[in-house]
Amino acid sequence: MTNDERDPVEVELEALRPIAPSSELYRRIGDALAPASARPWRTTLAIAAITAAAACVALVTWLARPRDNPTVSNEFATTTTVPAPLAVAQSATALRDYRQALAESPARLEALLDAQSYRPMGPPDPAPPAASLARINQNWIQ
Amino acid sequence: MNRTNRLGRSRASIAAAIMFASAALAPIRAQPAPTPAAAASVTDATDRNAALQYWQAFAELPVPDDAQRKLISTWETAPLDATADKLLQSAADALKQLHRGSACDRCDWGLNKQDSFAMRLPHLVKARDLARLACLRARQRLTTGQTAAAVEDIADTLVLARRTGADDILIGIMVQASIERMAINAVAPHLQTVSKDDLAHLSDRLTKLPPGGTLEGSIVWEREYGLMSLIARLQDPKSDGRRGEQWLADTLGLPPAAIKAAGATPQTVAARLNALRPIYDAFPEALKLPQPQAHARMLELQRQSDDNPLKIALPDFTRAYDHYAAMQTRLTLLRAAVAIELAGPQRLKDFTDPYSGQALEYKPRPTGFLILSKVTEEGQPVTLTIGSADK
Repeated sequence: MTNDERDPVEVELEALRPIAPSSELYRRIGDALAPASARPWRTTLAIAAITAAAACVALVTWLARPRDNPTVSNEFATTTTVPAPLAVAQSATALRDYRQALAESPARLEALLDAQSYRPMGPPDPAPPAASLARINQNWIQ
Repeated sequence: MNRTNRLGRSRASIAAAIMFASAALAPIRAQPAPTPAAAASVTDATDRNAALQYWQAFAELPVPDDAQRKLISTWETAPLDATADKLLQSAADALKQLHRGSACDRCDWGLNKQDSFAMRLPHLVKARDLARLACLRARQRLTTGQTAAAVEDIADTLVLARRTGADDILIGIMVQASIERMAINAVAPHLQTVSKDDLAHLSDRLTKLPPGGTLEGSIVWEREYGLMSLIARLQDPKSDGRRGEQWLADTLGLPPAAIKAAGATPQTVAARLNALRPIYDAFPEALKLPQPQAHARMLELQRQSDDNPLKIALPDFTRAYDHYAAMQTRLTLLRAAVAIELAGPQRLKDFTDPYSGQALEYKPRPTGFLILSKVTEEGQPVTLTIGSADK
């Protein structure tokens, strides 16, 4: 090939032309850019979904409300209400659980630790039932 | 522009780029490629927090099936067959992290001590799980002549044990004792099969173990983060939405009946808790006594809380003391046994009973020897038997 000859690759590149966008693409872009007021059905749907979710939360909260004996005096009456108790208090891996087990016997502590052994990592299970704790390893250390 | 010119210009540009890149990379290329040992030293940088390595190990722990669970629970005597081999293969990554954790010179588990008795301690269970696997592998290695690798497993397990107790939380110290005992039980039957070089390495690592928890420290911890923390909360009992009795029951792990027996008001409950303070304060002095007197004194102190419905806020330091004394003694016995294996029974005189200061006793046996201490646990003297391993 001489210096004056055109590179076939360049000729091929020059022949390439972008494809015009389809009318469907224009319509979708226009829809996405339109102000919210132009899509009243979406606003209505969002409000309905939020209302439904709020209703569900209220229902669950009402169903799960504490049903303590109202005749028991509560000298600790709170002035500030924090929504939920500490999740750690529900866990069997809290210090208090181990302390309580150790207060009974070192073997009980071992049994509690054994009951939690080799579980996949994740949210803790509730405290093991008494039956599983009864499987006490008499050999305390080990 | 003709093709040859363009091509020549392109080549010149590429050559220039290569020269520039070469110049930029020259300082890097001038350094020798890192050796495996150098790479390991970067990985095992001692200024790292060991807990981060241990938590990676915990995340890599296998979830054993029923057969493997049974094997783990009987790791000291279970047959070292294909099932054990498969389990240990699945635990290889976790055990690698255990070893890396040992190389770190500090360990902070990041415990939320402000949660007082509600504080989570998930690392304790995981540490026991990991330790059992390490001891099983040590046993496998000891029976197959891989004593150098087995020594690493044993020492790594002991380091982990120390770190589970290092926060001075009594439960952590109990777990430390449990794991230390595992490691010692894994190596003691096979100690006579370990080469002198490997014994010397084990001896070295035993002298370099990180500090574990102390009973003195745990009394301080339990008083400050347990008892005093609860009393402080009772002065401002509005920080939680739970009913008072339930809040105390959740926090202390007490049945509401006990709270009721304590008066069920912040004032009466605080008074009951405050009544435990003098008992706490007297424990450190009791620890300074020789073991029999210390045990008796601590029992006496413990009994002073018998009529207190909130005595759960005072842990059973007496029983913990016995386990703690046994733990320290057991490790002394292992150090003495290693020294005896290295240089003969006359080395025993270099070691004394850590709680009485008295001499340890050596008794030869047909397949090894026995070392006895004066410290007792559950009424029995703490001893260490070397040898008698099934091949």
